[in-house]
Amino acid sequence: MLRLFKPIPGKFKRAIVNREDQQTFLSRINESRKIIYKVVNLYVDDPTEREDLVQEIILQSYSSFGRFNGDSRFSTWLYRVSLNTVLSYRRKEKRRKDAEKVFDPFVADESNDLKDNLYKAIKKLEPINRIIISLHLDEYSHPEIAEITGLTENHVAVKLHRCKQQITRLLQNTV
Amino acid sequence: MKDLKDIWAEMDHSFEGPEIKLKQLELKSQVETPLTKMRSNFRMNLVLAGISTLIMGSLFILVDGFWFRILMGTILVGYAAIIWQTTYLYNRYLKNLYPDEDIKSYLQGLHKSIKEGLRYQELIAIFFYPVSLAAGYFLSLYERGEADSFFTEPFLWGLLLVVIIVLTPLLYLLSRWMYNVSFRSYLNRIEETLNELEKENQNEN
Repeated sequence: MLRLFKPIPGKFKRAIVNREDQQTFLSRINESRKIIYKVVNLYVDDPTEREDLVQEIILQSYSSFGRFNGDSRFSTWLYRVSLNTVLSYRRKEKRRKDAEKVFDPFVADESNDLKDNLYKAIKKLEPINRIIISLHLDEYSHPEIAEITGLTENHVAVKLHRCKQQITRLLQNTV
Repeated sequence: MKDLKDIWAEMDHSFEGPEIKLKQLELKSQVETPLTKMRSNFRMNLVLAGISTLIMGSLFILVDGFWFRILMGTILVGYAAIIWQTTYLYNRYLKNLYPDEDIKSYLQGLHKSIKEGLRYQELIAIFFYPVSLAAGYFLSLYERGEADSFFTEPFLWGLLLVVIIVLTPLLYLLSRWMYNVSFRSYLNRIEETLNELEKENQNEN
């Protein structure tokens, strides 16, 4: 079950106003920037849209950075911002259908390559499941995955189990 | 078969994108999400409501007519309520898009509150359209010096009644159209996103 209503803080604890804060933010986001590219790649196929969304995630995380209080890892927080930005971005149907036809440059032609097949299999999962399995493969713990996705730990465990079954099935079908 | 985590780790370098530069923090967003579109439409609504209030406030002060002031005062109170509610919804949900909150709860709250809030404004407006029309009508009567004869001339009564009967539905339809253009498609897109998230849960339960 998704977590019930959580109060939204009314104000940022502090706003990023000076150069020092900017530099702190830049160095932290650059250390973890793979997260942004990974999430965007998992959800968006069109290269232009990918670029725009990467920029949007940078801006969203920049504007929210003042609220990051260090309770969780920065990477966990960035995963959540990236996922939320991607999920709240909803393309119009026509563009979505067009984008589905676009060739993914990340995916190579050799269909028997395990890496490509794993990537393709993950992209075939439901949106939330894609992030759950990729977080699991990145060694994130169940509580951290729950925090990022807004699901309970039990639900994460159930979903993860099904994701693994689905992935294994998809990989067996392609090999 | 190789362990999935090992395969995934081998792919890790593929996600290494270009370094993020300082100037990127100063760029404007190019992405249009339902949230960013609604945010800009809310801002536009607030600006227009502010301008309208200023114009109506000026008329309230400048036009010396009892009935006009009663009617215009009523409209100003209604506008103040609408501006207050719009500002509240904007500050609560759109001023800062909360990208690090639980997205489903956030979108559910936003969708429900904005849809109900705008519906509420629409219903209030049904009452205010005749008042606004009457205020405009009285303004023209005061301008021509005929306001005093309004209560003794059945023709002037009848004319006001016709104006209200004809224009109120038109104004209501116009406001519905403006609502559809400004908000409905974005609220629908948020609803679709919520349905998708909900469907995923149902599929697995």
